[in-house]
Amino acid sequence: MKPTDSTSDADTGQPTVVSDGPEDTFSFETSGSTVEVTWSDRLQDFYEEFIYKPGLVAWDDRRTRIGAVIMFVYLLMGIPGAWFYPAPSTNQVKRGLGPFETLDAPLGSTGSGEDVLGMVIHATPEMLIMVVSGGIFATSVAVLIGTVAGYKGGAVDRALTSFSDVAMSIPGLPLVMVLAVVFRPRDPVLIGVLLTINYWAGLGRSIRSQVLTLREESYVEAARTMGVSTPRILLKDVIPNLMPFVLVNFANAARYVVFASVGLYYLGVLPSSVDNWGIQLENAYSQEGALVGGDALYQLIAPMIAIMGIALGLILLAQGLDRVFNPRVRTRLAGESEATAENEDRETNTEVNI
Amino acid sequence: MVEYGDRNGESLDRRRFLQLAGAASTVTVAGCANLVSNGNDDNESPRHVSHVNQVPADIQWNSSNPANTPQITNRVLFDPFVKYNFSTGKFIPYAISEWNFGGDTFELTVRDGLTWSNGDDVTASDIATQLRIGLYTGEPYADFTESIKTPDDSTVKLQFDSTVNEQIVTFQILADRFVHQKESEFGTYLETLQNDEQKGLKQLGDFAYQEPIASGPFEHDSVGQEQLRLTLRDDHPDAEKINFDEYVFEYRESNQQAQQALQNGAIDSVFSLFVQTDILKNFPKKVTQIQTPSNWGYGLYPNHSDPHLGDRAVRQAIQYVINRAQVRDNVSPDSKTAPEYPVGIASDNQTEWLGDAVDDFDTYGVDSAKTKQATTVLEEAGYQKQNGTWVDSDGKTVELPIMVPSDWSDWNTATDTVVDQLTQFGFQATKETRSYDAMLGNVFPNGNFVIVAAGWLYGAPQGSFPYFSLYHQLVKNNDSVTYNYPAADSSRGGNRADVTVPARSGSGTMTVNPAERLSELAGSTDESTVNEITIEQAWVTNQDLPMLPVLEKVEQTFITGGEEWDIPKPDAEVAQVQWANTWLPRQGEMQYTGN
Repeated sequence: MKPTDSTSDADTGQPTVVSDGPEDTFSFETSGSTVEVTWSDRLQDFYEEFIYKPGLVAWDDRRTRIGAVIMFVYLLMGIPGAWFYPAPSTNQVKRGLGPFETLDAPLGSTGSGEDVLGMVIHATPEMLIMVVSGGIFATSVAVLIGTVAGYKGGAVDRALTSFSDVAMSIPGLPLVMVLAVVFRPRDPVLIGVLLTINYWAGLGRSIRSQVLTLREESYVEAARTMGVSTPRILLKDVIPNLMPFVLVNFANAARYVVFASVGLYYLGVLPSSVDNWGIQLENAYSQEGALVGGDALYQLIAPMIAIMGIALGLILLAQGLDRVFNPRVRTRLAGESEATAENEDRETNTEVNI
Repeated sequence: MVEYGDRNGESLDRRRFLQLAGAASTVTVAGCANLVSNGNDDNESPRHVSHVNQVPADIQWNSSNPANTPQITNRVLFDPFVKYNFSTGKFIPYAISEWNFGGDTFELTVRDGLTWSNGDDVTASDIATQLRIGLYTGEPYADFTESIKTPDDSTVKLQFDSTVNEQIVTFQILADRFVHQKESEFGTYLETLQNDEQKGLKQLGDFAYQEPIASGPFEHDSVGQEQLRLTLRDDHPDAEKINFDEYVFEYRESNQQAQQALQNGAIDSVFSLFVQTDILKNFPKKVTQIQTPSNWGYGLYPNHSDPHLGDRAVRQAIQYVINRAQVRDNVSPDSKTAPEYPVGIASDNQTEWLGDAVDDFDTYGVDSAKTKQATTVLEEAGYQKQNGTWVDSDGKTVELPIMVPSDWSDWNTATDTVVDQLTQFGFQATKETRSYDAMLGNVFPNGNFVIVAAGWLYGAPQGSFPYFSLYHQLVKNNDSVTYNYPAADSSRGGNRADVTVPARSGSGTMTVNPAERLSELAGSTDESTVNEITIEQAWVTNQDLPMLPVLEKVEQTFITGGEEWDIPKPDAEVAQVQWANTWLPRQGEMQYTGN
């Protein structure tokens, strides 16, 4: 039926809008020819719904802008910075230089002649990898378990919820410390995963409750009645609506990874043969005597600023993104933009969805 | 009515406040040399607060039990046999008031009037008991001691099976030994040892001696997680020279905590504490630093069963690459020295003992990384550099993880530098940290390491006599590290094998058995033989590098003087002992003067 239609369209050379309309409504489930169209359409939709509009809402918030700029600085430090700036090593510059004394070591040097700024910069790439891997791991496990549990309900829900309850009840830091000592991980991706090994549990629970409301939505019900498979419903209908919430929690998980990794490196639980702000703090404290009058306070302050900066960036981002989650703010802002002028009804839908 | 009630409440509050404040002040002054109530309100007594780096409640005073043996508290509780003075280079008689060497005999006389804290006299048989136990627990004098007798109540006589070297035997029997194993407590263990050695060693090794009977001027009073309290014994012969009633040890875990406690006056003394120059200059003036030789310091023990480190070429290359002067300057140039020659002799004594032969020895570069020599020696042994990293003939990368105690800050700085030096040369070096307890319990005895940082010399005062450090490097190291050196004793993973090194003359090789040669040295009274064997074995250590020497430290002891304590000047002869804060009170040289 479809092929004939399209040929006839091609033959006449006229886009038969009128005939297309009833066709579509008539054969709703046969989507043979619409596939090509909907792919880009859907991408467009997806972009508008889940990137452009939330982005617009988020960007309107000053916190997001500042947070994004801060994170951009860390990206600069982590990628081109670590590439171009010389790696720290002992005796690369004069020992015990103070900050702002020479351009060779703008933030000064340690008692062993390591460039403090170099140490800060070269700790960034691994930290970013850890943050991203930990964030992705925690949020994806949480989304997977939360959505499946919330959507399926029944025995699956009970099993998954009990599982996350168990994971939640294991004390996080001691567990991570034991695992770190046993595995002595060196790969930042693995460290990120290890640090968030049970961080996902709480997030999973809240996602589950979000899904519990989402699954009662009419469009989800419609999809269900049409016989769309569960994974498809979860992927196409449920998870996209959770994205803002997930993003906010991604930023929080990332912040947790920063603090946990710095703490564990400081305590010497994680292998110390890499560059990390935690190790830098530990060196400043124990080897340079920064707190016992060793005139090495700047060596403590430099990594502290780096840690505070990234944490601040992530918090601001998370708070900014949080607004995306707020339907009132979102509608007002997105409604004003010209991009949304033509599909108002869809807009209302989104609002209801959330 | 209301007013009355208020006032009543107020006075109550004030009274309660005073009570609380009273309780609180007792707690706060517990940290410093101060007057504390000793139960009787109008009679207060001064105390000396020192530092201990072990949890006091865990300490047990049986030196034959390796767990939680004391590092400093025993030096107050128990009297030393003698004390070695670094300034004069002589032993000062103490609990052993006299000793006589007779070629194949050694006679000790117990100090008159010395008693245990339970009131018993310290007798010759107490001393004999502990020396006899030493025969079973592997004390070095066991190798040549035939019998230990007590001709009378105050004399102990050791009979050797042949003549021995006087200096060695004197150091072995007198140095670093304490009157600590009372016959009534340890006699049963000795009996078991004599009947069934294995059973006896097991029993003795398991015995935790937690309520020690003291022979020193202070006795055990009470102990907790944070503090060990010792009280003055009036019946000690030197009690009258001490004018304070309590000697308290407070626990501080890390160097930084101890430094902080010294700075703010929470503790009065620390027996040994690494303090780098920058921190030292900010210390209060009243804190006096006493420096003594340590004959000990940061070295690297290669695991000789590792495929790469078992290869002499790799050990030599590492020694060539390490720039010792740079390591010293990074750590603390004031309290560390870089040994001129990597040999089994302490830095100060190297030229004296090696004499003219010193020119033959390789320095491996004290203040430079001799990468050219390192490259040559590696390439000759079949190693090559691939993509900037050294690999062996099978293409396997030379990996050098260096394990170091996490709580020793100076050693961590040193290791960071060494790792960078080795990495720049093309070795895949990394630093690994473990707590010192974990190292003692697991890493050292089981040889679970590729390279481990530990002392390359025997330690003071014995370390100033080369025999001890050579024996430490080649045969039986002091830290019980299983480093699998073939020439070492079986307890250190070796089989007392021969070693072949290039001859010192420059052509050909020489094969010697270090264990045999050193026992020959210990039995020799002939000076030229002693010199000859010393140089020969030093040559073996220099060429074969059973351990890699990096730094030697200067011991830093701290005592607070000022208006509270009357102490001698840091360079005074009487203070040149280890450790001054436990010795000076016995000499009446550390008096409480505070008010």
